[in-house]
Amino acid sequence: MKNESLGEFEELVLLMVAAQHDEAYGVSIKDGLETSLDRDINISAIHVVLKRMEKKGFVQSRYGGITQERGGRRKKYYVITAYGKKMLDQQYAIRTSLYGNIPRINFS
Amino acid sequence: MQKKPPRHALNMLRWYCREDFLDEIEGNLIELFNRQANQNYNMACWWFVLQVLLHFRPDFVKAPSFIRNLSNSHIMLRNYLKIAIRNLRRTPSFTIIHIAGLTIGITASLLIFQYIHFEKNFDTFHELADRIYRVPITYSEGFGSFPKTASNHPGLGPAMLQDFPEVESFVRMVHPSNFGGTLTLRAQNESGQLISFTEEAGYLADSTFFDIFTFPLLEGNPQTALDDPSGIVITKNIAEKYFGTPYAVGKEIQTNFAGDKKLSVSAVVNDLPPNSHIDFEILIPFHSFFAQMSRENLWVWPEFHTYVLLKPGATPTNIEAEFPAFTDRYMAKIHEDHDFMTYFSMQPLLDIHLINDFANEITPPGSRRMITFLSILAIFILAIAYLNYINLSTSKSRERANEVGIRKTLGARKQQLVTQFLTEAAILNFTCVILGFILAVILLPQFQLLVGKDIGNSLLNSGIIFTGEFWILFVACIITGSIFSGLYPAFVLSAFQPVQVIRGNLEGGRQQFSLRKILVGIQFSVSILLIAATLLISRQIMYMNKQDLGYSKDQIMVVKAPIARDSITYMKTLRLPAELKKLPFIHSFTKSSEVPGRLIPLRSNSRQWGQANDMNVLNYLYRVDNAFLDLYEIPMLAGRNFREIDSSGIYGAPNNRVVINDVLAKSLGYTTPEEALGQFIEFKLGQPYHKAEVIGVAENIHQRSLKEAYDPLLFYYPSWSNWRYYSVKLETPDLAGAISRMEDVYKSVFEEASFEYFFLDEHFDEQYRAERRFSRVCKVMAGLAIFITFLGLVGLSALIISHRTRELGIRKILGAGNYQILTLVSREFLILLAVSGLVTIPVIFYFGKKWLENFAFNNGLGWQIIIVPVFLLVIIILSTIGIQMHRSNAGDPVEALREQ
Repeated sequence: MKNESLGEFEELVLLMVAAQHDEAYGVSIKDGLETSLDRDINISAIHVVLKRMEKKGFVQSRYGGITQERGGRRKKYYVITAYGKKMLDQQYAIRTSLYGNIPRINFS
Repeated sequence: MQKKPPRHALNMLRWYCREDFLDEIEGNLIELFNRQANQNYNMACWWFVLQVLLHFRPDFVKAPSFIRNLSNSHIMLRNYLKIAIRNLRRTPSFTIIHIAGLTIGITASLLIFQYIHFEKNFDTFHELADRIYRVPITYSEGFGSFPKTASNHPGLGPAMLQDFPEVESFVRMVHPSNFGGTLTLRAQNESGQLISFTEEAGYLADSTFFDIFTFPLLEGNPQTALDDPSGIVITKNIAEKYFGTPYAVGKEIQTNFAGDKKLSVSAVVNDLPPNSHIDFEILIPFHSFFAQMSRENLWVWPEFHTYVLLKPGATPTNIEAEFPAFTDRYMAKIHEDHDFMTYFSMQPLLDIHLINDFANEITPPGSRRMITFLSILAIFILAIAYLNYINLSTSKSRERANEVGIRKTLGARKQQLVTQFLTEAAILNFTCVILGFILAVILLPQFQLLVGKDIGNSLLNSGIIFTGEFWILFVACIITGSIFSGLYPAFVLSAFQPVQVIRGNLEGGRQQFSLRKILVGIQFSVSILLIAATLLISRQIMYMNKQDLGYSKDQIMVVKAPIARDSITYMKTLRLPAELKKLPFIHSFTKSSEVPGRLIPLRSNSRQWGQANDMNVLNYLYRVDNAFLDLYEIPMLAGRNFREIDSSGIYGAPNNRVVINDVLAKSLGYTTPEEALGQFIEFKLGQPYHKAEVIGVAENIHQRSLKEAYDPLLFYYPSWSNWRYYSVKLETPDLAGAISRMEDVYKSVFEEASFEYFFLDEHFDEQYRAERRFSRVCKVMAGLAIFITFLGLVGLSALIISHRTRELGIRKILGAGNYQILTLVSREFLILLAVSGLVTIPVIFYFGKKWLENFAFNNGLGWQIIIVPVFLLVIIILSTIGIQMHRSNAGDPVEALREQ
């Protein structure tokens, strides 16, 4: 695969998928992100991002069992792939190195 | 209890969402919905609807059902489309040739279709059109060979209403010129100035006019517009001309009719539809006038256009059967006295424009010949374009042979291959029809200029696209076009045997060449025909322009004379010539009732003095003064011109000296001009016959265009006359200055009349307008045909050269020169051209002769007509092939052989 980019929201969702390892699905990701970010997140945005990342190969998915609370629909669980993890690591490395370059600034 | 999300939203989600995403999305939405529904059900429902809408995006939406439900054949069709488009793109030059040729053909035929549609739909806008009939007159043979006239006697309408129960109503229209002059209107314009114009398109009409005809009124009540004898109906155009506003009801207009009566505008008619055969600007109610008209005139004045409205459901057959008895009832005495018969007929309003050979029409009728001619042109051009397609696609079959072979090996059936090639043709045809339609809309104004006719504003505005006829043509164009152009190539291409193709053996394709030859031959023939027609027409026009007319028409300006209505204006008409003659730049001056350039309306009969009624011959009456023959330089064959003393000086005195022209002398029975000199003849002027002495015989002149034979003319010199024209021979380099000086003089005598003039040569030339139009149309269409043929030639020669590259290369090595190779390749075409030339000669001669028969004076056919088109095509063929050879490097053996 070529150099895929990772948008900001994509990165957040991917982080959440990685954090909720093997238990991540749409609603849980939404809940997780809402709690950590303290803002409302639209489920449709999460769906779009998940599809996109699955296409890019950052995540894989599997179906779970049918539950009553979901109107008889199966859950779709997502798990991060090695490639996705690498992407996250890269992103993290870039950020830390950039952060390290910040000179000491006194804002007070 | 579990709460349900809104059903419609859920159904919608299920309807649009991709199956493989539905579980996840619907599941997640319902889970979140349930969470919220426990707190606030309504809010949750709104949230759910919003979410469903937010998910409606390309990522989640499934493909439309018609794509999902494609069966195998549909998939194949999609494949055909794909292959077709790829093929078209692979050879862009051929695609452009195809598309350009077909588009031109379709555009031309669409435009022609619109013209024909316009011509065939004359007068259809009248609501009662199918119940309106006109009653024209046909005369018995021998009555001075009077032509059939569109107008009838004033007594006809009322008599028909009284005698035939089928007739509901009638209307008569008559041109004011029948009452002794032109119609002049005077009115005060918005700034209070008195303005005055002479109006040509004015009619006196019965008050029933608007009951029978449906013309759009801008203002006023159609029922009563013509009821008031002091009313006048004008068009928007006239209202704007006189008053500066279209809303003129109630304004006053003075006419020179009915004793300078003041009339008030009772209605304003909107612009007349262009497809109306009745073309009027002014209508003056005439019923009060009719009532006063003397009874003797009722049946001897065939100048009234009479239309009758039949009752619903009535047919004209009964009336026509009764006509002989009807005619007898009213005209028996007249027939007996003058020894002739008249026949009436019922002519449907809708036929008037096209099925028509009557004299005295309100507007010139349409030409059926033009329609036929244009239809043939359209078919020709379309045919050439389709033939191009057939030719090129069959000739291209070698390039496609491998594809066909492989498809067949892989199990394609012949029928499938045919479908594939037809699809290609259909795509091309469809593109071309769309392009053609767009072009037709864009080019309509140019086309209208070309045919010299306003045929509705545009394809869209004229409402044609809303007619079934149009869509039938549209769809038929695509379907028949595709089948016609695609079927044969499809069968040729699909007939290849795969084994042979793959072995490289294409002998199976040999047979097609004979058909190709025929098609190319047809193209050549059509091109030759069109070029020949163009040549023939322009040659004839040139001939007519060069021909000596028998009189001089250069530097002659004709001033329309004002009408003497009373003694005061009569004195003015005497003063005006005297004043004009004083101007230094006027070389000579003459007064007359007519000038050359149109059919003389005043017909009469004449015979040798003392002969019986049945020796009558037709002649046209020409009132002239003693300067006329000199000014127009009409030579005398025998005798002398008029002198001052030949006019007797008293109004109404018998005109006892006349000059006749050569044809009249011959038809009166004098074998030589000299024989006629001093003889007495009698001619009809008004009711009685006049005895007159022939003092001179003038040479024949072309009173009308060279389409017509010489008219028999009888010149006489009355002492008092309503001269209609003053002809002035000018001798000045400053034409504009001269005209304005004359206008000043004119205005100083006739302050209220308008100064109107024309130049004789232009006036005469007007008669050839139809021929010029014909020639223009022919030129453009011939140009298009040549262009399409040329496109086809470019394509074909490119193909042939590419097939023979190797052969030509080897020939080159063995010593053939460029010239020899050019002959070799073009020989096939040149032979075809020769054959086409031979085939078309009889056609050209037959139709050329027929066309020339319309001209009493014609130039004959001439050898150029056949030689020039062939020669032109030879040049086109050789240059096309030469250029193609040059481009494809066919002459370079190294390149040619390396390629393979």
